[in-house]
Amino acid sequence: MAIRQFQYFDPKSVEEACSLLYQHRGEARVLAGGQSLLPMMKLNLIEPKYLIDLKRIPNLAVIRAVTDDETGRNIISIGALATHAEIANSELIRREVPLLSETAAGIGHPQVRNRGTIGGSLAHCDPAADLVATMLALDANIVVASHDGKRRKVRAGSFFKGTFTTDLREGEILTQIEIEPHSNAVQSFKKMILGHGDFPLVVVSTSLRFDKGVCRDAAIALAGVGEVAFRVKDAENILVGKPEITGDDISRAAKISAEASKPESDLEVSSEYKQKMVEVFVTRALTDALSKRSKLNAR
Amino acid sequence: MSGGSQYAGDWKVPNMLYGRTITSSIPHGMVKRIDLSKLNDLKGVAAVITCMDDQTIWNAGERIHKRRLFTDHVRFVGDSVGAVAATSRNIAQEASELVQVEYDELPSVFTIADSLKPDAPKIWEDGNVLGPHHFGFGDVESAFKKADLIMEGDYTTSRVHNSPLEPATSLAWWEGDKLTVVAGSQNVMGTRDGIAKDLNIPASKVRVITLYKGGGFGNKNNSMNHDLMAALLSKKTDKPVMMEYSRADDFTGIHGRWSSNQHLRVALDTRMGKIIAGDQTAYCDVGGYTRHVMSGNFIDGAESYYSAEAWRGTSYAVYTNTSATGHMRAPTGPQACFAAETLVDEVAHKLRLDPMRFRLNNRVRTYEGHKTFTSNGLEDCLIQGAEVFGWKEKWQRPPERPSGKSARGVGVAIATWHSRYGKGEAILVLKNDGHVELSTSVVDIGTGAKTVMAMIAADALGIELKDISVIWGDSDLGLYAIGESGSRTTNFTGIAVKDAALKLRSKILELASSHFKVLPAKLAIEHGRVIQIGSPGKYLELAKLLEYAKLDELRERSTTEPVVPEDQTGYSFAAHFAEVEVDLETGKVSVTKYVAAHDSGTIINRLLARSQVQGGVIMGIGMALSERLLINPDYGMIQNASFYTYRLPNITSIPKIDAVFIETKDPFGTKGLGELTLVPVPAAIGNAIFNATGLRLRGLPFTPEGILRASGSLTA
Amino acid sequence: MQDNLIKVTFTINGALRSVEVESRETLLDAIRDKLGLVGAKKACDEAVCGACTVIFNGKAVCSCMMLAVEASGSQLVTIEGLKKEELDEMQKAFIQNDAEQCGFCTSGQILSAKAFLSNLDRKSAPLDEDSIKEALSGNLCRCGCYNNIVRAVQQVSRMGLS
Repeated sequence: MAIRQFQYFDPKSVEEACSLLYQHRGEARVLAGGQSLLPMMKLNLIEPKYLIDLKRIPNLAVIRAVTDDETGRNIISIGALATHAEIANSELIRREVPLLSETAAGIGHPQVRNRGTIGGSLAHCDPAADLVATMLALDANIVVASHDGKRRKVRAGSFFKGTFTTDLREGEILTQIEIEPHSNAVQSFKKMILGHGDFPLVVVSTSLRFDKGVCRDAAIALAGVGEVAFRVKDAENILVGKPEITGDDISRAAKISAEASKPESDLEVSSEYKQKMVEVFVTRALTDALSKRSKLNAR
Repeated sequence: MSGGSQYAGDWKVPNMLYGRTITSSIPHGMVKRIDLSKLNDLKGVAAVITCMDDQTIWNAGERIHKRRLFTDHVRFVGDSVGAVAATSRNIAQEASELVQVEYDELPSVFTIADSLKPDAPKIWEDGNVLGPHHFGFGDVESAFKKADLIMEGDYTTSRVHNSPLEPATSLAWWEGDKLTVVAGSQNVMGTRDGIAKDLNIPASKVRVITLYKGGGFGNKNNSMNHDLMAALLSKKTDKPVMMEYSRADDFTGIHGRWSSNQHLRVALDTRMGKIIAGDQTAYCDVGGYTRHVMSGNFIDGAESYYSAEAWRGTSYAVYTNTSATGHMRAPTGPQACFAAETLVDEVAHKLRLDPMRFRLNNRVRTYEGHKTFTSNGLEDCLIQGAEVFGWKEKWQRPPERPSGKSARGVGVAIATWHSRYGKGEAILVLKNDGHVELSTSVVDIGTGAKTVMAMIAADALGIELKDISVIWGDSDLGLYAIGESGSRTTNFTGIAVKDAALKLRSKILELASSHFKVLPAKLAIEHGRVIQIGSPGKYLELAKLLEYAKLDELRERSTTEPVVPEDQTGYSFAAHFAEVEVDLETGKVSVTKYVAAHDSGTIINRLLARSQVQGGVIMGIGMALSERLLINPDYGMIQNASFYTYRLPNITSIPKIDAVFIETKDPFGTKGLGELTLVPVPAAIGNAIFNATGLRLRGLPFTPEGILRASGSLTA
Repeated sequence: MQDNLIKVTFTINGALRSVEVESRETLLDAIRDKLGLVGAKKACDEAVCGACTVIFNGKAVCSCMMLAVEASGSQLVTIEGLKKEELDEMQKAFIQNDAEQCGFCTSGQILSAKAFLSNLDRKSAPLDEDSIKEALSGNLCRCGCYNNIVRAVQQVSRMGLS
């Protein structure tokens, strides 16, 4: 299919980009790495008349440690245009947010990782998006710039609303992601794919935080098995408050996660198989995460 | 390699237009009306041709019936009703979507079962079934009476697709009444003849050029519909037209392998551990059109694996309103082998015998009980293959049922493939600079056929490989070659090349004998020089020889049609060994080790032969584990016409693959290799899965869900 | 807007070049049609098979999934940029190991491999078979050259060149 004609802009600032986006609202799309947008344009699933390329805007791809201006705590700030490859190769992220490092390293294949961006992926909000699940597991803050000059932060849990639907309003652009590193945490990212580089069947992103030898916080986020990625609160509650998490606990959490999933059958795999994979991969992710527990400092 | 090579889509000629097909959006119906009015608003549209104004028959498009290039009776979603040419590919694409076609829709069928019903809609006037086609030998009924045990089963193989990396592409232009087509063809002569016949012009007025081709595996044989579309659009616009298929078009519009639903019975003498006879029936879904033109059978091969006293094969081709089918690497082979080698494996298990030993004892000795093979290395394939693989150490009896998180197992499968000898042609010319030119019509689709031909010539002549160049891929050479398919290239043309080289060698020595003043028998050619045997100081460069003889060149042409004696037949043999690891929680299968032992007679170029084995085995792994066309049950269209969802093997899932060559002394030297490398792969893998898990899977591909279902891990 | 062409300039294979493109034209179409560099192939046009791979600012990318306009001001290397008087080491290794059959995927394979080796931090990153395979996981080959390709890349990596 032919990409429909469009007018191309490459603004030099976030303000300019937001302004263009607002001016042409309803007919404009933002272009980051293009690895989600262009495939859809080639299939004529999206036919924007205006394309606003963010890649000429300086400083939108910076990965660094900063102090959160509200809480005063250390956070990792990731520019929206940081590519999956840059995130996967970042020493800082590997050290502070290993779950994100692991997630980015497995997206697609190398050529896709060299172009695809975290901002693009999150704003696109595919139901099976690896990064969306991980943002939920990390309780990340999404920073949004608006055409009226205002800036707002939205917690991941409120940002991802439905299939290809986020909290972004007209004239808004996702500019950064802020993540407070989970201290004393064990994390794991596991996904089920039928073919290398394919959209995953099931994504499990998990982070378990321990305090004084007890699991204080548990995040189990799934993608690919619903309209949008989500956290399985009931499964998480099985683990919270426990000093030791047993195989039985993992098993129960996995079953609850499977029950909470509503995957659809397609010509290739049945919903039953997908649900079973939720159980298998939640088990694998939790088991893997907990195997790293000995490396935590007992506190 | 360096980007200079010219595949069809790389050509750029002045004033070139781009062509796209106009395809049907319904699975079955008659075209009532075509409305082109929306094209008026689109600038850059140069021509449109549809079934309303063109009657061209694409003769190679369907085996039995007449298939129009642009059909008014659409038989699948994606069937071509027309084509458009425009100044850019984007405009051509948009134009093809703006053409409005009205149909009288007919009821459609998408499965063999539905197509066989008495009230099923007729896809062709004479019905939906071809066949039965019979093959085999001996008296099956009385053979079965001798059995003390009969085992049987139902086996299915899926629709898969050739899926070469180069999508279908053709460029055509006219100079007066002479047509040139740049095509990705496996057979320049066949393509030329086919186009000439379809367009009703003399073959001398058609020139087909193929320099490089990005794979085909059987779907770029003879003339293709995109060649004709490019030619017709070019005629109408008086400009060159480049017809390009997108990947989705290639999946939908270019044929793939037909599926098979089979029932197989074998008659056994359990006391002797012998296979007495086999009876194999197959129903094959061939889509809306079948392009299969060889043998007549839609499955075969297994009748020549074992020393049975009788084998009966029956195949039916059933049309459905789905995409066309045709040749793909060993068109009838892997389907037949999968059923036979799976059931034989079940027999071995039932009789509590090592499956490798059971095959060794029962392997074929004479063809259909009465003809000798020109050479038969099947025994060594099994024995040496097993040794290289480590069969004795690795094989254990399978578990009753799978347990634990993962399981490992090994499997074996054998296969044979006919290796016919036929017509080949070659021209060899010694130039006055000492260089030799070899002309054949062999097209290099990636098996290194050019190199092999050059090696044959250089070896027979006594010159260095660097002093010979191969001219190829242009039908204006007027040479006949069966084309790059059926594993026969090395046979046919190779024999002609060797013959021409030996004749040229004689001519050279005759000429040299008057210079050296000795009999030709006392001369030889080594490293590009004529030497006098036993007199190291006496030699003459080939270039000098021509200079003294006052000749510009020495030329020799050879046409060979080697004849196999009536009581003999040529077959290639193979024994494959696979090791798999099955993830019992997900059902995913990894092939962890693979050994392919082959008897293809003399191997001329070992590096190239090993690559052929790699190619066939990897394609077989795809057919076994991940490849199948997903056909929508409501519209019959292919849902996974994309590399995202039609799962080709990825580099990350391929093990080391070892090739073992059993070089039997065949009187004709070389036997076919390329197709046979695929045939036993799915069966070997299925047998390994059984050995690992105790789960017997009788349908391809072995999907993760299929394995979990078989193991009872999924409840419903 | 319909006939609006954009002039895009980049450095390709060491030379400064410009093309005039519609905004919707992919980088792949631009380099093939407008610059005649036909080594990069259109095999799937959806960034799965990698036959269109080029090196963009030192990284392997699928040129079919980039607009030509996005390449403005960049450094591009295509397969044509590798051949100097002699074949590049990777090209030689591919020939020696018969890592090419039909040749359609080869340009993409070579460029992915070269980009991988040149970006490798040798001290920390291992060069085992699995990491080579992962690096080439975005390049499909239907002819089945995978094992030979891995051997070719291993051969080059052992030479300490990239």
